Amino acid sequence: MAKSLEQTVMELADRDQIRELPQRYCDCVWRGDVDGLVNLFADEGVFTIIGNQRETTNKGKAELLKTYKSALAAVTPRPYIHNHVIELKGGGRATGRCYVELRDASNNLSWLGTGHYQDEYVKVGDDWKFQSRRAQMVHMEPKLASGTSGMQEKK
Amino acid sequence: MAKSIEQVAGELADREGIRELPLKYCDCVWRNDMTGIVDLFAPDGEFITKGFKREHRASGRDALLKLYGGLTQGELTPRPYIHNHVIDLQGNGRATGRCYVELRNLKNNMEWVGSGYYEDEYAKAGDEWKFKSRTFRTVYMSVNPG
Repeated sequence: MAKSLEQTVMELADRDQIRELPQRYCDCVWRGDVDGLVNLFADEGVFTIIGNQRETTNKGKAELLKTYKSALAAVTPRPYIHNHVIELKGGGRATGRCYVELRDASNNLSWLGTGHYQDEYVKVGDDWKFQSRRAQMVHMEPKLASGTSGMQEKK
Repeated sequence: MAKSIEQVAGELADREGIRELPLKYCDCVWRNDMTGIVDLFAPDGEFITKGFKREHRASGRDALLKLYGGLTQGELTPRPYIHNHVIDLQGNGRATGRCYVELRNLKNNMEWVGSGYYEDEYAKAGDEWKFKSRTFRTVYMSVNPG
């Protein structure tokens, strides 16, 4: 059955908000706004980073705040996000994937590495949030590898 | 109170109109279409550059045309790529946003030369969104932009 005009508009609005999440995430990283960054996650939001043959997961705002504060201070990444694809799942759920390049603010914006995020999104009230972000690093320069290895490890 | 479908659609259209501005700006820079760049600004629009040592401000159409007319005269012929655009609608035909740019230099085999970000103010003029002001902050630049 064809979608109504209202359904189509609401789906467009959902996609637009979801599209903004990784953009705002990058904007927060650039500005060092860790509170803003963590507020993009749902209360029980999860961030996982995979690279250097290890996987590190942090869950919930307290852990995320601690981890992002220490990681952003150690690595000073400046990200650019690309190629964001979104799949609406219905019931206030969606998934997506996007690709990131990282440069280093403390070394003339030299290239730090690249990877991609596998995201789950959830609608909380009127706002979309990250339910989870799973960052798979494809290449990390030594400084990035060393910085991420210092992230709080949880099973 | 929940927004009506007309409000949701109107805001989507506003965001789309605003999202296109930095994209068109880059497209104009790539094509050396300086008049096209200036047409993206409101008549009293401003472009402000904030470097490490100096600040420069061009206000109004004539000043903008003069500024962008000199864009390729230094060591750098910029070829920009825009990223991470975030938009905040403020109501009453006003909005703000921020976006991040990487620059490559056509004069030197498209070498990566630096990055920075724009802090933008947008204004709706009739049915169209325009730059009310753009403030460019250099984060790193390996060549003198002229």
